[in-house]
Amino acid sequence: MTAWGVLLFTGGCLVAVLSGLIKDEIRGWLDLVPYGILRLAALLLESGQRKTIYEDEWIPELYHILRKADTRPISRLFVGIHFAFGLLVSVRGISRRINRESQIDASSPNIVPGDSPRESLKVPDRLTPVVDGDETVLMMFQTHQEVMNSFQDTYTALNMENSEKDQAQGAAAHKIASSFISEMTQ
Amino acid sequence: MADVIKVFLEDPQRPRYGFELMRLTGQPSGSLYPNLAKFENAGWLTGGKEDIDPSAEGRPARRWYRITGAAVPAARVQLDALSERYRPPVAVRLRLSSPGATP
Repeated sequence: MTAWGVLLFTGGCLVAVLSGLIKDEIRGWLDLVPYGILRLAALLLESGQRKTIYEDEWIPELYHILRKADTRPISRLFVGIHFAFGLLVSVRGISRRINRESQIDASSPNIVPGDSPRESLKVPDRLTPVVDGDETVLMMFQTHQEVMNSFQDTYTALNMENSEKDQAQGAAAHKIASSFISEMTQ
Repeated sequence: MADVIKVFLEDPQRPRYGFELMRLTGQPSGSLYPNLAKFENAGWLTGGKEDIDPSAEGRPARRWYRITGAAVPAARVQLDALSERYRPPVAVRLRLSSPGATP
């Protein structure tokens, strides 16, 4: 009877340990599924875009989703797959758009993404309309008065920060606004 | 697309991340990332990488987006215009706000 007890206890411990190991193993493999889908999406990108889009943006974001966003494994897996699959479906469009618009960027040196935390205060030389399907959602300013008001707000906001750099940027904004207004009114 | 810009306008200085924007706007990645690319290339948004040491943090640096200074007033004007365009007529609003009204 004692021998059976020891056997049962040992068997129970083994099952508990093995089930834990199997659970960890399955969890590890399941975490790879979203990465696999994302890798598939990356293969559809042009080779030059893989570094900037796949390695610098998608992978860190998926890593965040799988490690930080949700500790519940099934929810985490679902969100990770949802994220990766959405990109897989739209990857061709993203690639085409970035390809097309990187050519436009070359003629607009002020609109260059950067790493500076103050980057948002860089004033682009112009804002272009953003179009969704047939509808222009965000258009350039409609009227002369709107241009005046908008750039005046920007100028004031930039100057409120009081630093020399901000004031210089505010002055730059004002200069761009002035030239833009004179172009529009000619 | 207006949803995305609205999130940026809530705090123009705050950097936003892709997954955060997905949660706040309810947009899937397949819609959000093409929109972010559109906005960034049109000069409405700017982006950069987190200023962290990946080996110290144990994770790769994420990419952030922020609305550009020039886009803030422009976006406010445009969102106001959008809101005005889709606002119900006065008669409908009065009917909805009257006591006992059912939407």
